[in-house]
Amino acid sequence: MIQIEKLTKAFTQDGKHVVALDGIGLEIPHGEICVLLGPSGCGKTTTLKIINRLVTPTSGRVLVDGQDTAEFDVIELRRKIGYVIQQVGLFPHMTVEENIGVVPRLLGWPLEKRRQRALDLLAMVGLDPGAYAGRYPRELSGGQAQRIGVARALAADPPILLMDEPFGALDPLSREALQDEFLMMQSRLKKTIIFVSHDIDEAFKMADRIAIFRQGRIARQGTPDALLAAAGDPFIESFIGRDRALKRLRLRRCAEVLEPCNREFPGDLPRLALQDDLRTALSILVEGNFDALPCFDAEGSVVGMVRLSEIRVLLDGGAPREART
Amino acid sequence: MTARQIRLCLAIAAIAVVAAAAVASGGVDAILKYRVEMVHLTRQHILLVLYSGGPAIVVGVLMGIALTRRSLRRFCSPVLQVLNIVTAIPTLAIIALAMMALGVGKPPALVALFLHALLPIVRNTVEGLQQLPPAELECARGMGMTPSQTLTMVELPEALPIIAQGIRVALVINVGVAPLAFLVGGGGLGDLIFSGIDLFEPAMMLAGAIPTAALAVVLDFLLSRLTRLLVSPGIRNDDATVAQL
Repeated sequence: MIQIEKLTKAFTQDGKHVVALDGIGLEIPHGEICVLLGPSGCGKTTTLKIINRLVTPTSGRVLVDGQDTAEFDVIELRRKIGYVIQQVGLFPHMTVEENIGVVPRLLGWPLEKRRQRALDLLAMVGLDPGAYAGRYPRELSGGQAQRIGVARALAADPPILLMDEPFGALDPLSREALQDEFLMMQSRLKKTIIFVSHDIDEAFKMADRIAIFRQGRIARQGTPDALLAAAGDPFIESFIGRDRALKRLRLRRCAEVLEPCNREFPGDLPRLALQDDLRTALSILVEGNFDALPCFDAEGSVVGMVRLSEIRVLLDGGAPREART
Repeated sequence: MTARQIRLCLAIAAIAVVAAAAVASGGVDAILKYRVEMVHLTRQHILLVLYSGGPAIVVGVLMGIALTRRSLRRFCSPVLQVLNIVTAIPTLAIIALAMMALGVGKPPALVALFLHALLPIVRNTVEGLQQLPPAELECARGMGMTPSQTLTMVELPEALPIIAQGIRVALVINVGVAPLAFLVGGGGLGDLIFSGIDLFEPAMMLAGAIPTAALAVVLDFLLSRLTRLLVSPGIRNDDATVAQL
């Protein structure tokens, strides 16, 4: 659990008084991903760096599990917080294995344990340990390098991860792949993660909760669905765009609007799967002018159907079906 | 052409010139007449380079490190300016000035050689440390490295190729400047070179010049080998990035 209380950061630049942060307050429960979203220069990276004390706030404090981070030894604090940055920051003179082992080495782990940990982590981030452990960073692609960056941050198994636009420099395909794999990892690891992004789609995909920053303040915060559902809020509308209905549907799965199958479908219809998101389902429904389609589970048997009208109910602010019945 | 090929061509050209000169001066025998002095003075020459270069490496690298620390960074360009000016003064003049203060013998020669070697080492150390990406250094801090761990685990290993380049240049130039030590009675192969010139004795001059040249080439070779051994393969570059001299 991370609590951020009334953070402000002000400094003087070229004789002008600049307020970078103006009363930031946030609470991130254990095991959640909180995305700090906003344009560049809005204070999200500064907030992140205050958490691992790379930046000292003018006032306010950060509590980790109830303890003020200012009371920690700064070096020890940082070793307990994984840190991933957009530029990756791998050390070019160290092999992949040595890079992953940096924090364990700082913590005094013996060589054998560091090596084993590096190999385990390589496998976890989807790289063949035998092929990659001995490589140098210049022999890696951008996507591979950032996988190592994530592995390195996880090396000493820190409870908290700070990620500063970690996938921002990657091409769209690698970015999607890394996001998906990262979410898979997170579902097992349950780290408390603060994730800075300026990419709205990424934010809504990754986040358990989102804090939208504007000029050093948090303009709105909440779960992705709550933010997207907040119709009539001009700031949200201008920020998120007019296709927010589709963005919301992308966060939901067919399983959430499933109804018992009460009619016969011909066999040659397009197939929906339980784990398809509703944006995909909507696209298929609209494209073929269907009002409903059967939904299949992983074994290929029909488990129910998805109706267009039910998707509409969901967008109207209705709770997911399970909650209503 | 790679740096290595260029060096090879230069070495071959130098050997050709030396061989031609040796023949013109009356043959190898005439030169070998001085072999006792050659061995003795070559040893002195090497010691001159080591006793001036060793301290210059230590002081130069430490200065370079100090000048790139956050608290001292503002002194960096003034100090480099001063060193530039010192290096612009002809070594002969420095030797003369040092002689005024320290008398004749080795001390003024060592001081002049030390000052001469300092600039390339300081400048390359500063250059090597400054070119590290700031994001990488912040990452090191963010991972929980202390300032001294950042220096020894990240900054120095990564700046090593450029620092080593500076040391190599400084020492090799020092081999060439060290003959001036003769002028204040500092010894070294300058004894043979300058006496040979004064006495119109080409063989004597070559008995000093050839070992001086050979010393420079051998030292350059050894230092480049040593650098290759010490630099991580992850940042090794066969056409090493050379700080502009």
